[in-house]
Amino acid sequence: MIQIKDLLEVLPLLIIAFSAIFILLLEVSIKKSETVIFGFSLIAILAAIATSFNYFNKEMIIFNQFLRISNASLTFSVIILISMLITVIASKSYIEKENVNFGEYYSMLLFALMGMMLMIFANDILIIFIGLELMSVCFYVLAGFLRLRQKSNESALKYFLLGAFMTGFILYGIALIYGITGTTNLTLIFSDAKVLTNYVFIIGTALLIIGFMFKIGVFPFHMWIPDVYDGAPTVVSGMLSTAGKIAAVGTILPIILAVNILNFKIIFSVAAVATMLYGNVIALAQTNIKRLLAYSSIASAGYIFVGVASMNEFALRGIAYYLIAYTFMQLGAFIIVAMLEKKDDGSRDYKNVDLDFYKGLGKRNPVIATFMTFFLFSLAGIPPFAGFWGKYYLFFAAIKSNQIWLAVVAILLSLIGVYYYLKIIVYMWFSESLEPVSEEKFSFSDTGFAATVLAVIGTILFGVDPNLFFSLFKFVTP
Amino acid sequence: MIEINYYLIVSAILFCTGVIGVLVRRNAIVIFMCIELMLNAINLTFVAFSSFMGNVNGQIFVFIVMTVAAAEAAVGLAIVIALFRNKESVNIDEINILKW
Repeated sequence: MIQIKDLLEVLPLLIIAFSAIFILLLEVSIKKSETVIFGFSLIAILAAIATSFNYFNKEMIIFNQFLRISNASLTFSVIILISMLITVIASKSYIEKENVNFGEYYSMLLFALMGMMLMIFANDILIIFIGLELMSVCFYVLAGFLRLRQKSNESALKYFLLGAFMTGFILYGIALIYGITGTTNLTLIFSDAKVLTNYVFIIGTALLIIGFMFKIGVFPFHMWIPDVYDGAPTVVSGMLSTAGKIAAVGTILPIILAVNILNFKIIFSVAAVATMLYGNVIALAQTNIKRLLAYSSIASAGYIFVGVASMNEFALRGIAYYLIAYTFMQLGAFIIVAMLEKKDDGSRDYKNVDLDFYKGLGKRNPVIATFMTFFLFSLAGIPPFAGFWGKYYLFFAAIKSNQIWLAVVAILLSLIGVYYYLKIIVYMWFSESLEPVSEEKFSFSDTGFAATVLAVIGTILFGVDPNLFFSLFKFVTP
Repeated sequence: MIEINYYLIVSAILFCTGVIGVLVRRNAIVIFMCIELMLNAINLTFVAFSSFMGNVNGQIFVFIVMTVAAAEAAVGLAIVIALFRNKESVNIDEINILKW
């Protein structure tokens, strides 16, 4: 039975759910409510982060076995909350700039956040499905939020059609799993070792995993990523590439580890290598920074899958570390792009997102250029930034699982990545501006700037002191 | 008593029809209808399994799927309308400003 006590065990989830609904009420009841709503959603997310830390080291299954709170799921949910916090802060000035300053935006963000947390805490495929759809539907809306802009419309339509198509496959997989096991409860499903070798069950699980690989953007299901990230509002692209991916990884990881006995290792290794190769090589040819970051996020999905493919006790630690580093650096880079973007003038394209615009940025705006340099160094995996430790722990997991070739290939492919990250840095510091660029003036009171500072702090803090992460998230082995 | 196999085969055929429809049709609305067809094929699978096993979980799942499909339809059609206002076309071959 569900008890009142259970409600207290999922306080972070409840806070987010209620504030998402409450924001909709605020929106209709107060005039000029945008600032109030912004503050309210910030407080809600901060409260959710603060309450999350109460539940560490308390493994429990609650709500009629629908939800499961564990250290791993809490870690992923805190990382998502942090990513959302930075997104919400950065969004304020961005949606004002784009003339779409509506309260629904924050409500959509919080509903998506709730879906992601639900998905991660799920112990039942039904809950995974509800969370996934809650997240995806909000993402479709957010991707098309600049409704007067054709690029945003197109990105939303592509995302929607492909996402809904993949939902069909995920559901068919769930139907097959249900048909074989007679239950949708994950604990019960994986408790029967005989079922795990049934071929219908394997097809069902494979369909489920493929659906999630689509959401993470792993080769060969990555084709939507550049188009969607390019067309979506820039802050939303940053959010999709961090929070969306983390949620999908955090959900599918326990399932992949549970069906470990099928020896999927080699398939995931090949997928990881293909993803890294594709993302890094195509990114070399990009001239638009949003697309470049999109390809770099495909490459990052490849690194994450190096961890997934190693399937040992180090994998979880590596993936979690990489994801928190990735949140700060990728989101930070996207927010800087969003800040430098030119104000909406009714055109169908985003302005100032070409790589050429970044030539000479170091002279025009040294502070922003320095921050961007930090993020790009971190993405390239150069110490002392967080990205280095993320990759270190991931490749360490691969080596520990006797897949040294995978680690070597991953390091070589991430060296390709260094080239295009350094290219931007060279453009910023050692090139002259091409022509007099029309730059958007922004002040340091810009909320985007505050979000960038947060991301910089995270990138440096987790890079200088990796033990901080392990003490914060109670992972046993550093 | 009709055996469960027949239900499963019918739903698999419906599902494949939906998939093929998504892959070959060019109108965004028709593609969306094909996706709905896929979801309904899955509902049939769930109900068949559910009644075969005498287990109500599958039927609950069908309700959830229908709800989600309705929510998706609302958002999806809104996106198509927003696009049509700007572009005056819902042919996905013409929706091509984002590439490479």
